[in-house]
Amino acid sequence: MKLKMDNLPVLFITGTSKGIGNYLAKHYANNGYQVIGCSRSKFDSLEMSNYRHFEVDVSIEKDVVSLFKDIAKTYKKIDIVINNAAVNSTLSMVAMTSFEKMKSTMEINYLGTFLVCREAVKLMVRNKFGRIINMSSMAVKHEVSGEAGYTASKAAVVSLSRVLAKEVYPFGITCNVIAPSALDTDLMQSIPKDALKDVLKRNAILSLGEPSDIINAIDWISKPESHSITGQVIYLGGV
Amino acid sequence: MKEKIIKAVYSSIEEINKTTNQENPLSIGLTTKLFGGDSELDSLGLISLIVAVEQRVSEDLNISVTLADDRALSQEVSPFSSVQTLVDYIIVLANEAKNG
Repeated sequence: MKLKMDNLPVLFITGTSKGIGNYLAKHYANNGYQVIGCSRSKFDSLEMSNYRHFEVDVSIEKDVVSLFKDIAKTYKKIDIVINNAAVNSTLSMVAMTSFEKMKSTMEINYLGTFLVCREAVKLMVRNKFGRIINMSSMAVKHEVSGEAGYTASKAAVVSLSRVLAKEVYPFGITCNVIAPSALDTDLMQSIPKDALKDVLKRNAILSLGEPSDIINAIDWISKPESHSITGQVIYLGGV
Repeated sequence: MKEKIIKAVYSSIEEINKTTNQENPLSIGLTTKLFGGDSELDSLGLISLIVAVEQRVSEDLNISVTLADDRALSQEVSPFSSVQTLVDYIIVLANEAKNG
């Protein structure tokens, strides 16, 4: 039976102009979801009737609020939120890191995730269902020199998610974290190859991760039957 | 505008009485207590109500208001004390939104 467009599960994902966000957006739009994506940069939107793109910087509060007002008006609900948008500046020791670089990393990776969670919860509370999935990183476990900003921002995402999970569970909402191993994306281009190899040596799986690994984890967490899986951090790649 | 806001708040109370607050439904009236010892609402009920009111005001009056923020928490009289204080606070926010 073909689902009518207005009956499709609604999935919102940040950072869909490239990398894993783009891959996930295409995958879920091809698999029966109404996908809503956003990115800071201009982007030739996916040519799919069930994909809608917003040019929004997730770290700007009024833009995120306005985006969710639009979603509430048009779709009335959000079933799944994937906070994927992130930046990872070039490696730099704390002593050499500018305040502006640290601030913008926290704004996009952490505050952006917070804002999207806050607004999404308001929609999910009304529907008594929701799955929030925040992307973190193996960096939180490995604590690699030169990655303080990225690592701290992703650790903050973990703490936010674990607290939020407790607050929203009574409303039928779960909040979990997926922390992938390194993937071959633009975000990884700033990491020198040797440094990356060294970090991967600490994992059970020495090779780069695949986007399909992330999809597998998202699908599992998102199932209605997974209502008791919340506040968890799922590391991929044998971290 | 005041009548529309009162209607939006009453509709929101009806909505949460049917969903999250079935066991201790709130009475519908301006003197109904929303927060504190005299209220039938627990913290989850209050969150549900705030979310419902924000969305109903947005849908019915086409005005975007954020009810739960630092400003609301720092008011001398909490906007969440009663339906009356909530309505008064929404009127202030709605007027500000209209006047840009």
